[in-house]
Amino acid sequence: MGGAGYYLNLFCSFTPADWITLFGILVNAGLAYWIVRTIQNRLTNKRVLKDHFINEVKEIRNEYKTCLNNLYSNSTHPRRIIPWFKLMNIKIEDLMEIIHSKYCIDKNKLRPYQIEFQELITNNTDFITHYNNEKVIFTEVSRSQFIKFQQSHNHIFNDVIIKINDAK
Amino acid sequence: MKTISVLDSFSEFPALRHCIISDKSGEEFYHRVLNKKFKEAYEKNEKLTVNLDATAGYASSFLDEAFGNLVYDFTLDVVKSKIEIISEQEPHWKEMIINQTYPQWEKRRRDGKVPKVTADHEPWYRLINNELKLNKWEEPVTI
Repeated sequence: MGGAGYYLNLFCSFTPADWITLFGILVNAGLAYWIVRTIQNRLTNKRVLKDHFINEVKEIRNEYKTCLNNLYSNSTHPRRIIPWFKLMNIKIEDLMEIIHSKYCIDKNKLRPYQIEFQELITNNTDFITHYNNEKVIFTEVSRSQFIKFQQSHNHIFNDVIIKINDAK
Repeated sequence: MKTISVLDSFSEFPALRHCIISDKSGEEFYHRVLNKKFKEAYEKNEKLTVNLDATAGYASSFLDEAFGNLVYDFTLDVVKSKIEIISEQEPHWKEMIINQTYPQWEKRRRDGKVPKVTADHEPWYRLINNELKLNKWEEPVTI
């Protein structure tokens, strides 16, 4: 008979109370499995979503970095920068709206890049002077203004990333 | 209510502040479009809605010059009561116009600091003692 016979004899000897206990154990085990799976999935989903938003913030930061590098190397086409600012503004607006609703993070956190940076460029004397040219040549005075802006606002992208990461 | 959009009534590519700096400037938009449209709305006692969306984007100076001149010519109270701005794509422009441009240009109007005009424009409307007057109020200057 072997092992199978042993278990058959065991089940045959079960009283109704034993069956009820066994049923209870199985139901509890199934429930525990379902709860663990669901929580795990939720935690995974939360992490995936956070990573996605963090990547979006990093991407926006990189685009601004590229823009600033182009400004420093005098390779900015003045007429193309206003449409680029609009695109960035829409991206930031969409992203911050979602981040605000999901994690209660201040949606105006990147405003300095949306407004101050754009004004810094489009109201810049060199930019205005070269607006009808192919490229803008920025003087040292302008460059130092851009560097000052970067110095004082560089942290805000990391602030947003930390806030997303720490959100519950 | 009358609605105009910058895209349909002016350009897809609004540029900078003055005509002398760039084509499609805020100064040009004001003198070619906004002044006349606002005057029509004022006469009919209607609201004028200005839709800023769907263009390629704005420099703040374009909007400041266009809406600032409007405040200078028609006063802040009249402009506030008769104009509605739509800027869903870039909501901060509407905030800037209402919170910065309007009060700064109202102060400028009260202080009598005339707006710079950098091109020869057709006569335009100004509200003087609640009466609309058509005149070439300023002569072009070079900046």
